[in-house]
Order: sequence, then C-alpha cells, then structure tokens
Amino acid sequence: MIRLKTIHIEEFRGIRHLDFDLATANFGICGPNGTGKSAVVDAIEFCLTGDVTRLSGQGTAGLSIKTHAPHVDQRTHPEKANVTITADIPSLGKPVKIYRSVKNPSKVHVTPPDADINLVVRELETHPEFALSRREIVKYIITPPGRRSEDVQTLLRLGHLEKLRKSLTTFNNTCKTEADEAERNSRQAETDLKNGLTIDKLDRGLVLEKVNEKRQLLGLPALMELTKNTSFKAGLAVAEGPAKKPALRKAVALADLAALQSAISGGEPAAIVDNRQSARTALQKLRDDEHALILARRHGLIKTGLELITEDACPLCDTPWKADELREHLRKKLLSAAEIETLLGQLRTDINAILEALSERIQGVERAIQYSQNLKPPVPHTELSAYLDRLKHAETALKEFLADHSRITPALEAAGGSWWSPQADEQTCIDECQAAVNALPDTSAEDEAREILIVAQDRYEKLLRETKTAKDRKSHSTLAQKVLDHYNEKSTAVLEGIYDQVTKDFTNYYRAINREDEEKFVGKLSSGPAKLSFDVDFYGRGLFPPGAYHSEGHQDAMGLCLYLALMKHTLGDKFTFAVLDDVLMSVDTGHRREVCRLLKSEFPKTQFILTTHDRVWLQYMKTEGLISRSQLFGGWTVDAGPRVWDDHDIWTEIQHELEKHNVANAAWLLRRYLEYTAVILADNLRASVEFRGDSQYDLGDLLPPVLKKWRKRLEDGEQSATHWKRDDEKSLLSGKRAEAKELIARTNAEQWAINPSVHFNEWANLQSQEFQEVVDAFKELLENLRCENEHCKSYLYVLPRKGKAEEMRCNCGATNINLKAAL
Amino acid sequence: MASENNHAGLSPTVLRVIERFVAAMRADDAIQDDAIDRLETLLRKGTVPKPDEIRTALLKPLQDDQT
Repeated sequence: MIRLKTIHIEEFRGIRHLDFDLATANFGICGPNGTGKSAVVDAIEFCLTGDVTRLSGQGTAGLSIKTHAPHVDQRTHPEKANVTITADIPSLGKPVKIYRSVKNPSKVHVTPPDADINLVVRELETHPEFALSRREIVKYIITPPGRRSEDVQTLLRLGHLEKLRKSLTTFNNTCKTEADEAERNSRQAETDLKNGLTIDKLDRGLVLEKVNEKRQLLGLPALMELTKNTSFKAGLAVAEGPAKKPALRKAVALADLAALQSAISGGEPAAIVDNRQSARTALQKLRDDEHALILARRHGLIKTGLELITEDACPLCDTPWKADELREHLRKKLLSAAEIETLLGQLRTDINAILEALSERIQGVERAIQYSQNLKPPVPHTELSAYLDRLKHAETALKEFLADHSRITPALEAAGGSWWSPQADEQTCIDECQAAVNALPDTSAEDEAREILIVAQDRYEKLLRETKTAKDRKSHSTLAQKVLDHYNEKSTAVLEGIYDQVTKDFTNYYRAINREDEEKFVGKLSSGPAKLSFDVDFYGRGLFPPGAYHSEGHQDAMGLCLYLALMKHTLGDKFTFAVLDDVLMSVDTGHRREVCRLLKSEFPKTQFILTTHDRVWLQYMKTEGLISRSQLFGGWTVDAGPRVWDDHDIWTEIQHELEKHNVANAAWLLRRYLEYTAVILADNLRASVEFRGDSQYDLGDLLPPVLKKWRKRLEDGEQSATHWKRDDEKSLLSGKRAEAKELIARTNAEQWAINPSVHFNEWANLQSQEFQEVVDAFKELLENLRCENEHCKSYLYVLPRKGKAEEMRCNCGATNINLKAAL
Repeated sequence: MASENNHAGLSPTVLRVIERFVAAMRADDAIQDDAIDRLETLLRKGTVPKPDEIRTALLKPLQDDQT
C-alpha cells in the first residue's frame, strides 16, 4: 500500500483547483460544514479506486460519477475533472504517480508503469474502505447482526465466505424441496397400486395374495416372493404384433373410480383439516406481516430502520413521525426472525401434507376425466375439468409459496378453500362416468384378471421407480444438509478466531480512549451463520448492543476502534494510510486527546488524513503531535471552491504581513490563531470561562480566564512544592510564575476583562513596530505554557479531567507539576 | 485431492475455511471422497460456485435428471 505525498485536484465535486502537500505524514483538513472537506475525501477515493461511494452507494439512484463528479460548471466536460496523487510505496521503496480522469473512471494512469507498482495500485482499487466516514461507522455499530455480518465480512475481504454460504444454503433448500416432492410422488404411487389391486394397505403378503389370486384364474403359477424384478405378468401370453393398449380396462377403471368416490364420501380426513387450519393460521399471520416479511428477508430493511430511528422522522424518506410511534409501527409489522423460522418450518410440514392429498385427488380426477373421454360415447366432463383446474391451481399456489415465501395470498386461498368435496355438478360428472363404466359389458373373469395384472405391473414398476427416486432425493438432501452444517461449523469457527482477535484489539483501543471511566470495558463479537452480534459492556452492568445505552459519542469511538481493529487484521503491514472523514464529531473533548494518542501510538506506520469541522479538534491533533501539517478551509463558493488557509507556520506568516506593514492582516491571523489556542488552553487548564449557549466565544471571552487559571495553577503547584518541602520545584515554579506574570502584562490580555476599551480589536490600529511587540509577547507567553522539551512542546494540561485537580503535565512527562497540597 | 495451487484470488482466511471445511467432510464417512475432491476443486477456483455447480460436484445424477 501507499503513503500520500501530494494531491492535485481539478474541477472535481466542489473543488476548482486545489493542491495538498502531505509529505507522507499525517494530515488534517479543517473547515466548517459545506466548505469542501468531503470533496477532498471523494477525490482521494476516486483517484485510487475509480469510484465515489457517495455517488454510487446506497440511496444514490440517479447519480453517476461521469455526470456528477465534475464541478457543476464542468458537468458536461468530464475530461476536465481529474485527480493526481503522488505517493511512496513503502513495501517497494518506490514512488508512484497515479492519475485518473472522470471521463474514464476505470482507466488509471500509473507512472512509472512497473509491474510491481501496478499490482499495488490494483490492490488499492479493491480497498475502498481506506476511507471511513461517520455515516459508514454506523454500519459497524448500530446495525442488525445479519447486516453487520455482511459489512464486516466485506471489510475483512470475507464476502466470498458469505456468498459461498448462500450458495450452499440454496443448494440445500433445493435438495430439501426435491426430496419432499419425491416423497409425495412415492406415496402417490403406493396409493395407485393399492387402488389397482383393491387393497387397503401396501403389504408384501397382501400384494402377492391379490396378484396370485388373479394369476390362479389365468392358470399361472403363484409368485413366491415380491422383489424389484418380480413380474406380475410372468407367463401371460404375449399378443402377436404391436401391443395395443385398450382404451379402458373396466375392472381397473371401476377400482380407480371407487377409490375416488370412497375418498370423497369419506369426507376430508381430520389430519388434512388440521393441516389446512394450521397452514391457514400461519399464512394469515404472514399475510398481515407480508411486507415486513418480504423486506426483512430481502434486505433487513425494517430491522435496520428500527435501529436507525434517531429522530422524529422516517430514516428512509424523512416523512415526519414521532420516533416512538414509528418504532411501534415497525415492530408491529415485523415478526422476529426466530418466530418466522419456526412458522415457516411448520408451514412446510402442513403444506407438504396438503400437497400429498391434493396430488392424490388430482390423479383420481385426471383418471376419471380420461375414462370419461374414452367411453363410447364419451361422458361430458366439462365441470370435472373445472374441478381439476381448481385443484391444480391450489397445488401450484402451495408449491410456489414453498419456493417463494412472499407469495402468501394465493397459498392462503389454496389452504383455506374447500377442494376436498367436489361441487354438485362436478360430483355428477364422476357419478355419470362411474355409471357408464359400470354399464360396459362385463369382461370374463380371466380378461379382468389379465387387465388387473397388466395395470398392477405398470403401477408396481412406477412405485419402484418413485421409491428409488425418493430414497435418492432423501440421501441428496441429507448430504446437502451435512455439507452445509460442516461449512457453517467450520466457517463460524474460523471467523470466531478472527473476531476474537479483532475483539481483543477493539477492546484495548476503546479502553485506551476511555481509560478514565471505562477501564474495565469489554466488547464481544459473536459469529454465527449469516450474523455477527456485537455487544459491549456498559459500566459493569452487563453486555448490551452498542446502541442500547452508550452515548452517540461513545458509539462513534466504538465505530472507530472496531474499524481500526478490522483494518489491522485485514491489512496488517499494508495498513499504511486511512482517511477518517469527520468520524469523531460527537466524541467529547475529554476523549479526543486519547484518540490522538491511540492513533499515534498504535498505528505509527499508518498515515492518517483526518477531516474535521471542529477547529478545536484540529488543534488537539496538533498539540498531541498526531499531525504536523494541516489545511484550513475558511469558506466555499461555487465559483472558487474552498477558501484555503494554511496555518502550519503562523508566526512566519504574521511576520511576512508585518514586513509588508499589513498590520490588519497580521492582527487577523494572530487573533484567529489565539482563538484556536485559547479554546485548547481553556480545556487543558480547566479555566472558568463564562458560559455561552451559542458557544460563540471570542478571544476576549477566553483568554483572560485562561491566563488567570494558568497563574493559579502555577501558584497551586508552588504551594504544593512548599507543602512537600520540594525546594527546587518551588523555586522553578516561582520563576515560571514570575515569567508568566511579566509576559501576560506585556500582552495586556488580562486587562481585557477589566477594561474592555483595551482590547484586541484595537490591534489593527497599531503601527507595525507596536504590533510586533504584541506578537512577540504572545509568542513568548504561549511558550511559557508549553513543555520545554524540544521534542514535546505540548501545552500543559490538568488531570484528572473532572474533580479535584491533582497534577498538571505535558505529553512526554518531562513536566509534571503536583497540584496537591495535602492528602 | 484437488490442486493446492488452483486458488487464485482467495484470501488466506477463505483458504483456511476451505481447508477445514474439506477436512470435516473427509472425516464424515457419509460423504464420498470423489465428491469431496470435485467440490474442493470447485471451491479453490477463486470464484463462488453456483448451487448448480455444487450439485454437479456432490451428487451423482439420477436417471430422470439425465433425461
């Protein structure tokens, strides 16, 4: 993977022309919302992958890279929109230049075009996850287990495993359906043979008895055993010439029709009534939840929607809703996954039983129609054909439901409608057919026996075939289930190993960020087929989903920690850069310092590009040494794009302005810089700033209380040193306090609180030389608040963050002032 | 035994799952070795096999499937 040196962007999204010099180091981009920060992230993603998630991900229908990636004024000139990145490839020790134009997003120009460099660039294209936005963090934290499983597996490049599981599951389901159908066909063949031989149950002895009875009539020897090779017709004279199948065999037809009539007149068996009732109840339940069922099974949309309701509006279409009412509304629509699974299992059993009965009836009616047609003259059977259509319609509806559970309504009609008893006119057709067959001239007992043996032989052979098919299908289904079970067991075990490691890293990272209040925090990722549950400890009260009790800020931090742990596992040494797009916007200030330290200490080889709309955040990154370079966006216009302000060497810039006698500009720069710094210092020193509801603090609000608190902290330190008889420390702090007093006096800042007329607003009226003194005083004053170690230079901060102040220290530990005067 | 080299594009984790999955099937007397060999070859191809391909690899065709 790579580390970025420069980025050049032209006519891309909200940017006209923009250059960044990152020098392969961590880099911060700061600006208010709508100033173009995310456009920079998009540009990096586009250059490296040819894609822009914001234009091609979910919810981007109607958007395209070619049309919407160029600046709006260049939307018909995609060739003018392009991004160039220069970078180092640490693993190869080579530089690379990567260029991509919106005109042909799939074509990347790599210089030099070495094979090994091209390989790295190609690999980059498959890792769009190097860029993480806050929107994407949500998908790791507050999503249903099924969705999280897919998202995390995608990040871990394990989507292949999920797709393989789906393939094996589909194969298993198909085998199961085929086995059910084959079993039904086998039972039907049994019934046919029983009807043909007019026996009640399929028993070897009974079959042989009936067959031998007929054979005896024909003077044929008795069959001694019933095997798959047994021929009921053995010894029957074979007619010369081509065998002619009679149109209707009276004895067999009468047996078939009698069986049909008997089934009808016996009424619907209680078991089938129960099956239909049970199926009807389940299908009704599903019908009431049909939309939720379909959507839940296809996309988990309802469940995701429930998780995503954070305000009084639908998270999908923004339609106003009371959040609680919307949740209740969705919950009512949604049966739990487990409930659905049980429901579908029972439905499958019920429907298979109904289908078996339907199949038997269909065959009986088909035969009656066939006999009606073959009689001379034929017996009218229009009504019977309508009955057959109805039966087949019901059969199709039930089979289709088994294949696609969203087809509920036709299945409900099939299970609910009474098809067992034909309507009167349909029954008349059957009666007339039976009467007509009965009226046919009787055949001799020998002919009848011959006919029965011929038909029974056909049906016996069919039964053997269907039984074998059912057995084979059953064994296929068993095999498919075993294979799927093995896969689920082994893939879950491997994934659990990965998740254990990821969980360990995640927990350590999160603890590092929240060491003050969640030292004993634990997280747990539990893997199962098609789901990945994520639970976290809530202050020792148990494990809960992250969205249950933790604040949004904590959830953001968890998202970042999980992302980092996943990236570490996925890329290892190749995790050389990441773009974090405003991902920690709701992390409170107390934890930001720790986030900076985490990134710096745990990922020293990773180049982070961090965007934020919060200037204080940016300042933290700098004072913590996470970033040394940054770019500030001060505003944006459609014509010019982002207005860039680079403050990485503020004092040099101020000096340049003063050399040009441009005091107004120098004053503006100093004021802006001091405003940034004063917020940090107020937080570091826990200064008492007068609260403002709109958080619009200016320098006059911040600096006086900061400086007052600085002197107080030094005084406390001095008193502590006196108390503990640490004379050297006391002397040192006494000197520092005196120096602070003098420098503060030189800046005149402390007077602002007393006399508003002496104020930084007057700076612009000063002469260059006068203002130079102000600049020098502030520069020295800020040095007074820093650690003296040249390699640290961090602003001192008070610990703990709340409660009685105990110490004031720097990052490196060279400065550590005890503030406790007594135990 | 399927070729160990025929697994272009598969991540080490995917390969580890395939190895364990195949080993579990081999330890199961109910699954034929030749079927496992065919499935393993399919799994190591680098693309996700379709359900029909899995069927062809695992199952002997029935008489009526052939017609």
